[in-house]
Amino acid sequence: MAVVWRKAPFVLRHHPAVLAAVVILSALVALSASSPPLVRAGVASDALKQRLQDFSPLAAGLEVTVPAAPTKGDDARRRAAVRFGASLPELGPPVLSSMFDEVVNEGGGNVVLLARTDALAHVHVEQHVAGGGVWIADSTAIPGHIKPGDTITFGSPDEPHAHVRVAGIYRRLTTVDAGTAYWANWVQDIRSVNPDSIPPPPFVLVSPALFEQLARKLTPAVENRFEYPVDPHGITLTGAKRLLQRFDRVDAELYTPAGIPLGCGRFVPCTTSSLLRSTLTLTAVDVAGVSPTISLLADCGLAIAIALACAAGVFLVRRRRDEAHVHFVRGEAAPVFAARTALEAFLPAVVGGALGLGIALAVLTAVAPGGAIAGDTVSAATWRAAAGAGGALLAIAIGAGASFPRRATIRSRVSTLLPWELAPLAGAAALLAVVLAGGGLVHDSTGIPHPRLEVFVVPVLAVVGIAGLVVRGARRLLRRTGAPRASVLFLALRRLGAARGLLVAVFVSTAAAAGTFAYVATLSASISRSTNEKAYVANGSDVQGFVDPHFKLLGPLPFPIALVEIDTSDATLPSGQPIDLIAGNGQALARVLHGWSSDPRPLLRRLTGSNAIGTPGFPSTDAIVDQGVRIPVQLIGRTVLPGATAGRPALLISRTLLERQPNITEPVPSATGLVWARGPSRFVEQQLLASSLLPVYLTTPSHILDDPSVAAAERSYRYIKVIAIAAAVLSLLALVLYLQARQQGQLIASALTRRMGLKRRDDLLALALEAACIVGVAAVVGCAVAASTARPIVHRVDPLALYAPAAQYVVPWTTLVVGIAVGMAVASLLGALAVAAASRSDVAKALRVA
Amino acid sequence: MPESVVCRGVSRRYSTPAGWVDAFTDLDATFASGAISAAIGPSGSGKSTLLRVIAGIDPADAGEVVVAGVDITKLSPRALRRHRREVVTYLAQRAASNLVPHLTVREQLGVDAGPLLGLEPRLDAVAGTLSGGEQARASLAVGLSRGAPVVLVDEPTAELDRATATLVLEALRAAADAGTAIIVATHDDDLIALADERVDLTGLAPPAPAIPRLRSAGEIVIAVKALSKVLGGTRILDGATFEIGSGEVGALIGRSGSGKSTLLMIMAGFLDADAGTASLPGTSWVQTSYLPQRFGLLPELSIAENVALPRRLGGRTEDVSELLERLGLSELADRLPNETSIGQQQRAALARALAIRPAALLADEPTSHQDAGSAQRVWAALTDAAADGTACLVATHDASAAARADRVWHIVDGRVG
Repeated sequence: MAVVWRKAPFVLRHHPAVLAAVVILSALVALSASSPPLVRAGVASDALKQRLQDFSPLAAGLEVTVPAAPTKGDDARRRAAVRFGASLPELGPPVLSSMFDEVVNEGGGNVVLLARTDALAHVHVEQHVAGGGVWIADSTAIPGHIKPGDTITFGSPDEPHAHVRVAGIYRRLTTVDAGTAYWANWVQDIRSVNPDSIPPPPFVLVSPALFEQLARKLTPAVENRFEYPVDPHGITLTGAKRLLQRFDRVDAELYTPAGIPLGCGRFVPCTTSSLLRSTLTLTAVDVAGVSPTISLLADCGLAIAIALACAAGVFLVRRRRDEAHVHFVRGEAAPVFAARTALEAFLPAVVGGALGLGIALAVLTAVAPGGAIAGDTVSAATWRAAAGAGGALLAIAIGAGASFPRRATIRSRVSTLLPWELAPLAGAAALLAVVLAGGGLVHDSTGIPHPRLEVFVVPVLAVVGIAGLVVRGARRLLRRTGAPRASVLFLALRRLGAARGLLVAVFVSTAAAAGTFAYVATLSASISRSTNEKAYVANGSDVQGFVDPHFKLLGPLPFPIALVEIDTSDATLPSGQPIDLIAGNGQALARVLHGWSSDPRPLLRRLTGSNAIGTPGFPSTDAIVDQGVRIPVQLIGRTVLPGATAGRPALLISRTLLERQPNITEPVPSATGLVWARGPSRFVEQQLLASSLLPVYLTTPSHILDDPSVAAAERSYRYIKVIAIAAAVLSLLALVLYLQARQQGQLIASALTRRMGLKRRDDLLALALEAACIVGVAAVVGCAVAASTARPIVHRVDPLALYAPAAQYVVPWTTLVVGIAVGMAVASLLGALAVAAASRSDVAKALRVA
Repeated sequence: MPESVVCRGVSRRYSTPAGWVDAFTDLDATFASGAISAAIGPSGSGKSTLLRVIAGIDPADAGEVVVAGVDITKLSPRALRRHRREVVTYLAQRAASNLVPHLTVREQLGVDAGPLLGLEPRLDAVAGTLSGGEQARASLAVGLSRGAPVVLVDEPTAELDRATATLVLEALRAAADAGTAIIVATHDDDLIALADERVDLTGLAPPAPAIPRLRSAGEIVIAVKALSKVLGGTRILDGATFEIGSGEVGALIGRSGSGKSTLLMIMAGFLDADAGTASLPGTSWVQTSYLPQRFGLLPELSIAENVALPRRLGGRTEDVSELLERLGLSELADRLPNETSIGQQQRAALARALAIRPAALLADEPTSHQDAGSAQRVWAALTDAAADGTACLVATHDASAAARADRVWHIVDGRVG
């Protein structure tokens, strides 16, 4: 019937629930499909901005240096520099500097006269008086006894010189100032690269007008530096790359009419510099670290969404059973029906695709920093969203074709004996074997492992299979269960016991969504705990520093510390196997060290006499050899110890034991000393630096906690949690739609049961109970299976695998239990609302149609 | 007459949660071209299944099914689709399952429309908006318009009044005379009488109980006075007035679309009247129970649980096995409704309506899907209920109901007389 095809594009308006399902699922597919370029752009932008902040916008921007420009025309060059900056719209307003070296007669020191945009706003002013003049550093003022208001002379009396009033004194720039964004390009002008060299001369800060006035008197040539900062707020990775290409062209432009006014020319070669290339390189490394995971997460979301779209195709046929039956009995083939279904779903899918893309863009705009999205990213996302919507359409068609009525066959009876759940379980087992055999990982350019698709498919398949079996078992059990007296319970249990088709699909998809969330939450919690432990193990305590083992603490410190010496070259087992020997005070160590999964503190308190503590796997022994001396020890336990070399057995003994050995030099000549201290890091660092221990290379746990690979992994898991939550929300929505549709279909039965005495409240309660049970059981099954599946995976996705201890398996029970409870509460509420909405329908109309 | 369909040793069984059930075993039957063949038998005897097997919808577990010279049990899926597309037209018992709901009758008939069966005024109506009787006629009209040499029709007159059913019978006769093999599954005596051949699928169905004598009327329980209703600009009811006393069975006889169902809906409290009153004992199930045309069984409950539901919700725990036995449902007690035939579902819905001995019972076409034996069970159950004091009102298109009721009214275009 041609008319069926002609009317197909608009037919879903007769089926609002199906229409809504198609739109929502197309949106979800488009959202998942378009996410990777957008999320990657967001991550890249985030990383770029961070790196730009680290380097400073001025250092990452463009710096044009005119080393020896004529004094005359400095003001014109500065104005030209502003004009030149206008041709680089991606850059901010330039910071202009003009300078030349000079001598201050009072005190006889060398200085650099510097006219720099806003320089006074970036120094610490110590004294000043009203009126104009120059600003000198305190290091210039003190030797010459110069005060604000005094007049100083630049230049020797026998040469051109100038008298200038001192307007103020600022504190001389130090390493701290050199670390600020404003002075980032001036590090070499503030401090010497070599600490033994004489420090560079301090600046005398002057206004541009006074600078030109003085320069004309004192010098024939000045140096100009024009710095154009990158604006970190509005830049994208694509924009930054484009900007770098632009920087590459600037060199040539400096000798064109655009650059000549800056002072560049054949006899005054200018130079340019920028750290933008380094910034981009490091950003690329950051992005490379998360890129595989982003792709994987998006693929997972896409797979879930496509599966749901497929389920929507099934739903579409179920809601139009009569129509499907008509076409079936008239000999229509399933593919033809599926093709028409695709035509029917086309317009809603287009709307859904646009909606999904819009949501993706809106979310990224809201979450990511401003200017994260470049035009080409949007273009890529749009294409992917379109492809996703097409994929959703295809999935819907496949679902519709698969659920199109088909002739029962003898074989289908046999197949009922083989539950479909075996297929996903077999798939999960096969993939798990692959993962456990070392597959399923990809290493990025920094060597950090990232899970591939199979790692995430394992729990999904396992959850789907187990959830299906649970439904099957529960259904059988519930059908055999005697009828409870309470009507609410009776109806809820019977409905659950009769669950078929779509409800099973909803159950399984809810379990899969909950499982995905639990899986990622488990990986995330495990990594978080592991990273904390690794941070403390690598750092011992809150602060770690290297010390000379000979140094003693001369005065008390307001926080506990522990000193250890570590011999990595002279200690062996009696068998000759080299070991790390760590010697320290057990009580002090117990006070200072943090606990981790294998808490060393109980053992440390017993570290007296010949007692010794080995690292995990330390061979059983009754002695060690150090400096050729056999030292009897008694191994009282094994635990992860800080200070040990990775992959090498280490033994912790009491330092007293070492001191009492007659033929041993103590401290051990080749030993390294470490101090571990507990307390607020900043305070502890300051106190330690001022102490007699003179520690160097101070580190804190933040060195590990802030590791980019950890941040990248956490970020990735956050994204997949969002995807899982979205999938769970959609599953809930599907459940509500199903319940609403079912209630609509049972309008007459529902009305009659009310007449029989079923209270409206009980009807609502029964539906709420049913919905809560479906979500609760599905979520429990999903979480349990996925959390179990994560156990062997945790070690494989450890971003800090080289650090001890091994990754810990942590299930975030509280999060999962609260999540399940919330899901059940929402499901029961929505279930009750579905009944309430359905009960508003016209029973008489339903009776008339009958 | 040439043989169009030949079944040799055909068996078909299907699974239910209670185990495997034989629809029929080792069936031999022949259906000729140019003739009307009736597959007859009690509800659940396998009539519908036989039609589905011949249509190539369900497979035969054993035997040969030769249609137009081709054994369809050996056909590939592709050839079976061609068989369904070109050789047979199958019309399911539920009329709505034969029509595309969002298309008009005219769109579904196509250009080569055959008999219109009185649907001329409704040709431009969307199928989903047609009444049950109209859908039944439309599905037959659409089915015949396809021009297939074999037409399989399941209970084509079940929901039709005699006048409309006559149109259907004439259409079937005309199609058969034109050379089409018409095979109907039916319990309609008129259609069985019209048939050229009969294939009896009656197995060992237990004998139907005798209909007990009716008791004399008691106090007035149902009183309808000057009831009127206009729906969509059409006057459906026009001053309907009648009364039924306790212990009486009243029959409201009228053709499809005459307003019977609307009247019962108003009486049951699901629809408001524009004018007049309907006085009944109340709206609770024990006061007024109701058997609608769509039975409203809960699909998640077994037949026994559905029947017992009014008692459970009323806080009573008596066994319903006697009621199930009386309506021939004992063996189906543990099955879900969708595992039973429509006739069986209808009887289950009636059993549910009678489960707590209501003061008044409103039954809309209670025998429309019943074979003669089962219809007798239904009437026996109704008269038993009346004997227990229930005032029963049966709306039906079956004129034979007049002989079984204490009071009879005819309803024509909404007027009861």
